[in-house]
Amino acid sequence: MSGSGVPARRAALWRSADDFVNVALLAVIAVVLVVQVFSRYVLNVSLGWTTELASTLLGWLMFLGAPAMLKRQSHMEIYLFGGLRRVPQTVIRILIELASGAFYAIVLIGSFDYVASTQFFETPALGIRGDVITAVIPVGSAYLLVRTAIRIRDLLRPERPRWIREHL
Amino acid sequence: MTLALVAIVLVLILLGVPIAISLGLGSVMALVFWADNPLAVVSQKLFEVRDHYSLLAIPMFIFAGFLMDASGMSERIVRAVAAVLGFIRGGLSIVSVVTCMLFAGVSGSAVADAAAVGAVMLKPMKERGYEPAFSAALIGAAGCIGPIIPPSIAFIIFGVATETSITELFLAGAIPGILIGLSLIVVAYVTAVRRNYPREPLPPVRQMVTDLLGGLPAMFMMVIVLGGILGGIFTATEASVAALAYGLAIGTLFYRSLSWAQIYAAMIRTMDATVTVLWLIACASLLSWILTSEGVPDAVGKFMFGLTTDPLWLLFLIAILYLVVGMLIDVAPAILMLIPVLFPVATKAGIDPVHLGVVTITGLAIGLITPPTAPCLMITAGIAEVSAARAFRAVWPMVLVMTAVLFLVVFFPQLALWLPQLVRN
Repeated sequence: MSGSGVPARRAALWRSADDFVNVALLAVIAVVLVVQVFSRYVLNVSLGWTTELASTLLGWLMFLGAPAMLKRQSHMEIYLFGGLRRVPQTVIRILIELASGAFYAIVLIGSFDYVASTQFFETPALGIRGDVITAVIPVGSAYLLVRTAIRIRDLLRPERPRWIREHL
Repeated sequence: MTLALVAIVLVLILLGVPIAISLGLGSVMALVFWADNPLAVVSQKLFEVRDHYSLLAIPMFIFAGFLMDASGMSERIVRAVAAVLGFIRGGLSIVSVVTCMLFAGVSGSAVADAAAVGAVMLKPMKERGYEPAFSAALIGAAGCIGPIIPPSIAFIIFGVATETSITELFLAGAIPGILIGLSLIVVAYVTAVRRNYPREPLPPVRQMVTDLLGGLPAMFMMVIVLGGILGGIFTATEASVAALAYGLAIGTLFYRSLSWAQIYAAMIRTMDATVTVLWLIACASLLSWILTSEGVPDAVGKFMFGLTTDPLWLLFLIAILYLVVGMLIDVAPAILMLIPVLFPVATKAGIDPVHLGVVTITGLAIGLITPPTAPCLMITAGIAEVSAARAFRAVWPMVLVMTAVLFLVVFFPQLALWLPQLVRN
């Protein structure tokens, strides 16, 4: 029992790894903003790096959080085909995922040139290279493509995760 | 190109493609295939979303709201309000509305407010003889106050999209939000008298004091946010940080009801909600950029000025458009889709951006309880186990009074602008 329990727990931890990263990002944003407000109002010191760091992390959260979110739910949508049978709904859902995948692919392809164009910039307060900051775009977009592929696989399986059961 | 772009976006949305992706995909087609821009522009425009410092308030307010909810705040507010207002005829329905108004000062999300208050109130209301469809409709409608009374995610999005002061928008929403709450209380009271709904017995003094003291720390968050902004102490983003720190302190130190697991779950929910909004804003900014460069606002302006040049009647027409669009599309995407076109028209006509903001959020928020989508109503109807048809029949009195308040705000701008002007001066 314990032998099968440990690998199962490890697998669950691995599946949640992206959530840990994003929760950490969110926690750091919160701490940085608290430091910013505290230093401004209590210490009367304005810390320029806090805004820079918090904004950068928000951009990272947008790209790293989106694939993690797709495990649980979809982006906001208007779904008018709830009355259809399972097979046509599955076909429509796959088309929707393909459309989303096409968008992520376009973002991914375009991101390489954009990242390269930012390599000569540095942030004013922290001196971080631009391409270090923008590298999250190809990483996040590629992961979004992987998540989209997993969602399509889930749609084709008989046993279905929660995000599909809520839709179909 | 513009018509084709709008058609593509609409078709994608109606096919069920997520709204953010529909906006993004349609814009990408226009940018790359018709305007011959490099693909790198897409990444650049999407990532520019992080440049808006005010957006940092979104995860902070959402997180604060989830923490307060997880710490059992909604039940405590209900008990505190019931101790004071429960004795009035139809007391529980009035308590529901007031609780939603107070909860709006914490969470800023309509559906979250309706779900939190509905989960606490719908069962006891049914047990006390209130018609479930009426209760679901009332709480669903009161939930719509969430995006109007500050803090409000919708106002932050509007502020970022139009570069309007979020602080002023927050202040401007307070009076219209209270007016909507009062109008719903009138509906609740009149219905209670007509249907002979019960009064609640006054609790013993000791119990009343305990209930009130239990709810006060939760209600104090509203004082921090509104008072801090009104007193010129905080910006909206700073207020969000104060709200989060306060929520965390109250949940862990005062109520002692927040566990690490609940905090982690609240962070996951915050992340999901924040990411959804950020992608919407990012993709809508792509669309907005194209529409503006194609001169669409000018064309729409010409059309609307052909109908009327009076700013208030123009705003009235815009409010009606919001009511219609709000029936189909959620508040945040509707703001992001309509505002790039309507904002330049409205400001050109002399409408105050803050006034437009309040009318925008109020008009679109009413759509949260009107068919066919009505997410606020559907969530309370689900909790009350009432069919959608019965809930829709029950909600019309609330829709009518809320629409009346919307038109009042349209034609009496001071209802929205008095508080911001007070702070400006």
